[in-house]
Amino acid sequence: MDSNRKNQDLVRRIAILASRLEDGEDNAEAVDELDELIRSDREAARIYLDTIRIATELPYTDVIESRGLANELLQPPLSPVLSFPARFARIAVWPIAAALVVGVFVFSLRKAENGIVESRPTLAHSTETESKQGVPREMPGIGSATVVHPAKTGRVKGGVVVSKGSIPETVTFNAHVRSILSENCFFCHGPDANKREGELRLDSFEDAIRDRDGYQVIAPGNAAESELILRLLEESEEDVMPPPDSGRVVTAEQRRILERWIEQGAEYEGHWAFISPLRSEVPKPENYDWTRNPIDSFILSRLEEESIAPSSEADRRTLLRRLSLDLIGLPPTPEEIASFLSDTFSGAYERQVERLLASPHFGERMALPWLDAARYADSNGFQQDGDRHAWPWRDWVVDSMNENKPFDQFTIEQIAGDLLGEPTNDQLIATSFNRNHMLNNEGGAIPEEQRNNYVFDRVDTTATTWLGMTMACAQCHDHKYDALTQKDYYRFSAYFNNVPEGGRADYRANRIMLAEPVLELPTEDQAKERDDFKARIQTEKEKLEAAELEIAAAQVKWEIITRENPPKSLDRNRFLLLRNTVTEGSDGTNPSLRRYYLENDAPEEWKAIQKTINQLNNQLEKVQAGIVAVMIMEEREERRETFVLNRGDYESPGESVLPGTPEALFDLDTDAPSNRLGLAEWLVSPENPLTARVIVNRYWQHHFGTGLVKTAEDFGVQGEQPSHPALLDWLATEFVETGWDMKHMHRLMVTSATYRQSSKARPELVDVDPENRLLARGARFRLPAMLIRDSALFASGLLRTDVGGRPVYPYQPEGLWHEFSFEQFSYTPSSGTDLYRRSLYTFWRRTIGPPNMFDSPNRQVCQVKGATTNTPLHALTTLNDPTFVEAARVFAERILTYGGETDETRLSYAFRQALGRDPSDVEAGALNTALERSRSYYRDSPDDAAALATVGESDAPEAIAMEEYASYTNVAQIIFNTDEFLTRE
Amino acid sequence: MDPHPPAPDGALFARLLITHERQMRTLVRSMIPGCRDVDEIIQDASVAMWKKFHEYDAHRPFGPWALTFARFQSLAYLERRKRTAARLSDESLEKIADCAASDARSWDGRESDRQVALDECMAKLTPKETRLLGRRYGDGLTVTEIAESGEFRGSREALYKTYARLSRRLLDCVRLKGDSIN
Repeated sequence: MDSNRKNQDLVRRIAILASRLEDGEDNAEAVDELDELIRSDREAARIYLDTIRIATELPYTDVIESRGLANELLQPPLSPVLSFPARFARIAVWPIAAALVVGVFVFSLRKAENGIVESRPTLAHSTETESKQGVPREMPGIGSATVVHPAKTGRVKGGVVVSKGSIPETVTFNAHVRSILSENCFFCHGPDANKREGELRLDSFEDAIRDRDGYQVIAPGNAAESELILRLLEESEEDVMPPPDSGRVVTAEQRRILERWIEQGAEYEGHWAFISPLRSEVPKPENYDWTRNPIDSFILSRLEEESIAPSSEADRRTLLRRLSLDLIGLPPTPEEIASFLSDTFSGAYERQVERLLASPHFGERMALPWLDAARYADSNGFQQDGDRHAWPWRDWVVDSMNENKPFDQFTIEQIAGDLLGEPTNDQLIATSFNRNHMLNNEGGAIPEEQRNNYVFDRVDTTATTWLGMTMACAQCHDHKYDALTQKDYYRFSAYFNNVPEGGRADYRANRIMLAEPVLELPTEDQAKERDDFKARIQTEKEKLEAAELEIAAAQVKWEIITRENPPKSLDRNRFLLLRNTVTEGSDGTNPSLRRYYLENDAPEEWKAIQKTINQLNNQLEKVQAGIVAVMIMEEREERRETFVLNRGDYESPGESVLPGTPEALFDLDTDAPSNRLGLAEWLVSPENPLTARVIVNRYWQHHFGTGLVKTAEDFGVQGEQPSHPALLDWLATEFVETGWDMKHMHRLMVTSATYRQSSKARPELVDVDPENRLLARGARFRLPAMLIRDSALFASGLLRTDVGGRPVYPYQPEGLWHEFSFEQFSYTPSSGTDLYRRSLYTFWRRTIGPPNMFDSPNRQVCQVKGATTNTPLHALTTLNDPTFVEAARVFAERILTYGGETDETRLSYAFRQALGRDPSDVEAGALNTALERSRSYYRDSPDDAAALATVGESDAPEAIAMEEYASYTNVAQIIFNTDEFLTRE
Repeated sequence: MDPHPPAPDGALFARLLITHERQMRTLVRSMIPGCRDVDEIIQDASVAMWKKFHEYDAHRPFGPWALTFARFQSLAYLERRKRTAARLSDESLEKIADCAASDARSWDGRESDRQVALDECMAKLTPKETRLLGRRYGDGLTVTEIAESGEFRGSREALYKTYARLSRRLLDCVRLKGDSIN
């Protein structure tokens, strides 16, 4: 205690000294005292450092920062000599960082060109390269994914751009007030009855305005009389709201919003996303000529509010590359680009859109985000991680996308295909959506607990995928923020709780471990083979049965002899069995002993029969393991009762509930079937306020990088408000009104002028709209890792482009599976063209996903928003992973064979094939230098060239000199790693 | 396979620099109490780091590496103004810098945790305390200026004590959270 007190005094003394010194006062004396303390006390240096650290970090804390902002916006400065050292300090670092980044991008080319590493790059060079090339390139380093944003600059707060003048004239509940109350008040004064304090519900108008012995929490029209405001201003620690220990703070700006809202009548609104969208009126922006379809009218009028002009259209090459990657996930071929460039008739772009929408690869590309949401994988997860046949469902998704299956039907078949009248096999396979969850078959797993987990997983996945709701919170308690009760959760779960399943993997064949119900899909041959083997096994068994009496008698004799003198090969269990026969007497029919006897010690005649049976059984199992069996949904005849589970514990059932949808959302049809079919119809009912919005928002995210609602996974109160609410509602109603036409929605988005804008960053917008939420330019982002792999294979000509089928096993580091599976599984790479299928078809093991597919969701639980980082590891992969190295050398062979006779024509050919354009002089020069360097390197190290030629399965060409081949392989690797190749611009 | 040395990665550098800039700033401010040229020193250190970035071993924590530059630039700065100001003894400077480097090593990869912890601790303060800190660290006023503005009761000396108390509370809170993070 004493030392603690001493320590506290020391801390305070140091803080005072540091404070004085910072203020430039009492200089010499304070320095001496501080110095003395640091030298004499072991702790002092650290305390001092920590004290200064807090002073350094304080200006960046949310509280101080938002306060500073509020001051800037709202109040006249306190004194004219106000300085903002902290703010200045932050800004000061930026120019250095930005200049360095810009320099490096430009110099990565220039360096290669003249072999000099520049140490002081300057900004001037960026304009130089920009003007040299015909195509304006995005200004590197600004707005691109490579730079960390100063997240809190600009008028973007929480991702939504705040309109000019921070306190709006008209304050509305949904646009301004709800987020403040939700963030700061609802935890204790919200929907959750168990946590409610002070008998106050701020989410309810009636409760907030009711008279409480002479005062009101909210007095509509009179902020000064409203306890809500008075408590925010309270100085006493006991009475101030939010309580100091809650960790929540209402800023002055937020308080003024609340005041204005109360002054204007304190009108409540339901949560926007829970109110069915109405067809928005399409606005009429001034620059109407720019617009191509209604999307543009919404985007442009918002931009005009901010007096920002949209960007010009991207050049055709970039545009086709963007479009092709977005719609089919493959870059365009040089021929496709040429054909687009030469198409001078109107509607040229639209013709490209139609071509791509009709491509069989459209479904492959569009399936990817759906697979992430559906946590699709080819194995079960957990320790055992057995395999499963999930791919027929994956193919069903691809086909559905290609057929443009209306989204309502797409939904109904997945949620309730088994409940349709006389369902087809395809409709049954569709229900596998709800069986894509993980399966836990570990030794200690309790089946009933696991079964409940699978039900929970279905609820969470369905709620996130269709409703954009984080229902999982309500598994253990009423939702803290959304009007979702625990009872709602279990009513919803009751839809999924009626599957005839036991929580075990009870269908096994070799590595395949499935859980019933299962749909077997044997081919005709397999069915015939299986019947055949079964019949032959039966015949053999009958032979033994005919001799049963004899065998039993012989077995008894054998047992007597063997137990006296057990052979080494006899296992412990059988030995115990044998010993028991001494006390119990034996009739010679114990099946386990029988098996051993027949396999080892019986007369040859019987042994031979048993051997045949064993062989046939093995063969049968192989056939069985080859038969595709898909886990599907089924309904039990007698309904399994569903209970509210206290704290989500399956052993603590409470009230019994019937299936139903959340009460805060619109009601089910009264005559809707009380099963998954009723649920599916409810999900796609035109009245459902969420489904259409949630889905079009994800389409938007697909084409524009970020959804109109950035939190694509959460449309609840805690989610972000849409950046363009009217546009979102217009798109949602359009989706429903066109009969849930998926391709129509994609077409609308990609043919808009908004989509077609150049993605070049505009420095003047960096501060106003750092996240490009207003879309004054096109979106630009790093390609998902799967598409980078596909692009490299495609450019090299290796990619196999047929659609569908069993998963394949491309290269991966040896021993990886072995390590991650308690040494149970080994990974055998595919051979032949299976190595070069699209990444979509790569076998997905849940415990250890394909290591070269960075940032992919783990496919263990539902995920509707991708992540994009660019870890250096990914660059190492795209440089060195066998898939990429092999693609590079096969590409090199192509370059050398078809690229003409000179380096110049060959380098141009390579550039065109991979990037769809000719290289600029600078780029050609850089590649040439690289080529020469590689040549001189491989001339000295022929062994390295030979080694490079053996990466991957493809044969090296015999007609080409090894040194030349290896050097061009290097060139190909460089091209595959250019920013342009890795980015969707 | 690639015979060329890799180009220095500017984006990586910028990211690392931004992540560690506050640690560098803290060290400079600690070594030179009341320094008005912190920005200049940080800029010099950053430029020197960029020149040497190809030597940086990416397997090792960036923080300690960066702090050696901050330390060196601070010492050079002190050397330049030897005569004009009181300064800490070499022994103290060394203790401070070693302490900072050891912290940087142990926080490697979790630099932002501290800021999060501090945010959480700040949220526990009363509005008045927040206002006090805001005047000093947001608006950048000196304690004397704050005392003279009359916004808060109390003399300059009393305010110094108030700030010291606040600083101690925040320090305790951050350390506690830091422990729970570790």
